[in-house]
Amino acid sequence: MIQSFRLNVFLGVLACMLIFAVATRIMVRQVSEGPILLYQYETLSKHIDNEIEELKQSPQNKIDVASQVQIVQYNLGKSFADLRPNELQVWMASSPSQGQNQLVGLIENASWRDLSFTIEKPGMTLAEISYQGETWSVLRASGLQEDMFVAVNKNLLLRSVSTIMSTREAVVKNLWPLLIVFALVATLFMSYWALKPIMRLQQSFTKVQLGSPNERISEAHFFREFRDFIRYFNDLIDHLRTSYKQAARFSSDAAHELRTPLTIIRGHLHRLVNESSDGSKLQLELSLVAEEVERLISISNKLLMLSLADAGGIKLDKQEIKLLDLVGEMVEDLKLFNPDIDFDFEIPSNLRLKADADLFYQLLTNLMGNAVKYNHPQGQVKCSAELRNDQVWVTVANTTSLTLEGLDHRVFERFYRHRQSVNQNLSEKPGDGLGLSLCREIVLAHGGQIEIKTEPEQWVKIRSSWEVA
Amino acid sequence: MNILLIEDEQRIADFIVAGFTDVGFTTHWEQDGFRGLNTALIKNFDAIVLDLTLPMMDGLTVLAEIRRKNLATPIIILSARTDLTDRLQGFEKGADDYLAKPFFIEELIIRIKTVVSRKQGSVEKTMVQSGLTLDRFTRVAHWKNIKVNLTQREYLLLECLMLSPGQIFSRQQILKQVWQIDFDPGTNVVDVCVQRLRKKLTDDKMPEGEQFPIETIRGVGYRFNNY
Repeated sequence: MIQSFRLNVFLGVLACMLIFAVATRIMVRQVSEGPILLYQYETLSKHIDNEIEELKQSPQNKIDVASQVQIVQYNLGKSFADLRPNELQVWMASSPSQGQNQLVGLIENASWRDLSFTIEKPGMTLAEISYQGETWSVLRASGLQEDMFVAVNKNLLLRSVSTIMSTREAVVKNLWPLLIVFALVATLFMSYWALKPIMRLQQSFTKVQLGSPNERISEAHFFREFRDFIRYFNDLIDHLRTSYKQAARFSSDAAHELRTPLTIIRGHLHRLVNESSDGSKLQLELSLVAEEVERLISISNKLLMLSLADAGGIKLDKQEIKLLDLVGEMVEDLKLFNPDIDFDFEIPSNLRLKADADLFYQLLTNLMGNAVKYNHPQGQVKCSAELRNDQVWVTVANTTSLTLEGLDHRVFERFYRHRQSVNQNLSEKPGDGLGLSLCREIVLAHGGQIEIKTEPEQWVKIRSSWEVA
Repeated sequence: MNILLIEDEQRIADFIVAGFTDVGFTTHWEQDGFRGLNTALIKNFDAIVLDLTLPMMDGLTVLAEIRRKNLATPIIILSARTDLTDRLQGFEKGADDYLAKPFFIEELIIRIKTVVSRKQGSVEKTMVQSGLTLDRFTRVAHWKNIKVNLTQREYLLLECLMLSPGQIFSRQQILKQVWQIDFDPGTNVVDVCVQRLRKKLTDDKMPEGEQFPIETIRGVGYRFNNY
C-alpha cells in the first residue's frame, strides 16, 4: 500500500495513459483497414474514370476493343507499386478474354455495392467475389457503350495496407521517447491539477481555529462535489465549539458555585479561630478544619485550571522570564526550608524564556516542591537549563525516597500518586495527585513538552521545553 | 473609613462587614448592581468593594458607569472568576485592584488601605505598630534599641503581620501571602523565618517583660500583638 495520495494519483493516471496507448495501438490496426481499402478503391476508380475519359476522346475506330483494354490495364497497373502478374484484370462486358471467363461467371451472382458515396462520378459499383481461394474486388464502370470491369486481387490491396501500416509503425517508433515524456508531463500535470483543490481545502481546514466563534469554511469557494464534505466539517467544528463553550462555562460556573461557600466557610472559621481563647482545644480543632478548607480551596483551584485546560481555555500572558533570578530566589527559600538538602543549580545567566509568569512560577514551585518533598532527608536537588534547537529545556533532578519502578509518565495523570517508597517507615506525604498533571497542562498550553526519567542511584529527572525569549 | 460593599451573597457580605467593623470601617452594603450604582453616585465613600456577578446590573457595568461619571473613588473587584481576561477587563474599566474569591478578609482590608492611601498620594514611609517601626523603603526594622536590615522575605512577613495586628495568621495563609505558594511545601519555613525575625530583633539585655510582638499560637499560627 502506497501511503502518498499524490503518488497514487500519479501512478493511476500513468496506468490509464498506458492502457489508452496500448488499446489505441491495437484498435488502429482493426479500424484503419476499412478506410484505407476504401481510399484505394477511390483512387482506383479515379484512375478508371480518367481512362474512360481518354477512351471517349480517342477516335474509337482506330483501335480495337482488345487493345483498348490492354492499354487501360497497363495504365492502371502503373498506379500499383508492387503489381504481380495476373493480379489485375480488365475487360469489357461483351468481350472478356479466355482467362477471364471464370471471373465473369462469378460476377453474375455477385451483389453490387454503389461506390458513388465516395466518388463524385456516378455509375461506379463494387463487388467482392471469391476466385481460386482468393478474394477479388471487382469494379464496374459505366460510361462507354458497354460496361468496363476492373478486377483486383485483394492481396494486392492488403499488401499496400500493410505498407502504410508499417510506415505508421516507423513514425510511432521515432515518436516513442517523445510520447513517454509527454505522458509523464501530462500525468504530473493531471495529478497536480486533481490534487490542487484538495490541497486548498486542507489549507482552509488548518486555518480554522476553534477559538474564533464564527469562522467557517465557505462552500462557495470549492467544487460542488466537496460541499457535503465541507458541510460535515463545519458541523463538526460547530459541535466542538459548542462543547468548548459549555465546558468553559461549566468551569466558570462550578468555580463560582464552589468559591462562594468556600469563602464563607473560610471567613467564619477565621473569625472563630481569632475569637476563641488562645491555646484552647477549640481553637486547635478549628485551625485543623481551616487547614482542610485550605486544601479544598487549593484542589478546587487546580481542578478549575485543569478543566480550563481541557476546554483549551488557559489564557497566557507571555512575558520574558529571567530563569537564573527566579530559580536563584526559589532555591534561597528552599534552602531555608530544608537546610539538610543539597541544592545546586546550573543556569546560563543570560538565559531568558517566554512564558506566563504566574503559571511558570506555579510550575517551578510545584516541581521544586516535589523534589524536596519526596527526597531523602539529606538528598540532593539539581536544577539546570540549557538552550537547544531554539528551545529552553528546564530540568529539575533530585534524589528520591520513592521506588523508581513505576515512576513514569503516569505521574502526569490526574489523581495518580506513586505511593511506594524505599523506606516503608516514611510517613505518607500530603498531596492531592494533581500537581504534576497541572504542570503538564501548563507546559502543553505553552506548546512545550514535559517528560520524566529515572536514573540509577535513586535519581528522578523532570524536564520541560519552553520558548526562548 | 467609609466603605461601600456591593455583593449579592448575604453570607459573604456578613463576614466582610464583620471584618470591616473589627478594624473600624463603616460599611454600607448594597445587594444588587443597580442600587449599588445609585448609592455610589449619591454618597461619598473612601472605597468601593464590588462583586462581578450581581443581579440587576453586572459588576463590570457598574464599574464602567461609576468611572463614566468621573468618580475617582478607589474600587476593588471581588470575583470568583480568575480568568486573565476578566482581570484585565476589570483593570481596563478602571478598577484599582482585583481580589479573587476565596480571599482572606485581612488581605482585603490591607488592599483597601493600600489603594486609598495610593489615591491620596500618602504612602507612608514608615509603619509603626506596638512600638515596632518598619521602614518601607530601606527595609530596616526598629524595635527597642535594636535596628536591623531585613531580607525581602523577612520584611514581607513582618509587614503582613503588622498590617493586621491582633489577627491570627495560619502558616498556609502566610505562605500564600508572603511566598505566593498555593500548596503545602511540607516544611516549616514560616516557623524558621519567624524565629529568625525574633532572633534578629531581641538580645540578652532585654528585660523579661519586653515581649517580642509576634506571638506564636501553638498549632494555629502567628499573631502580631496589638497593644
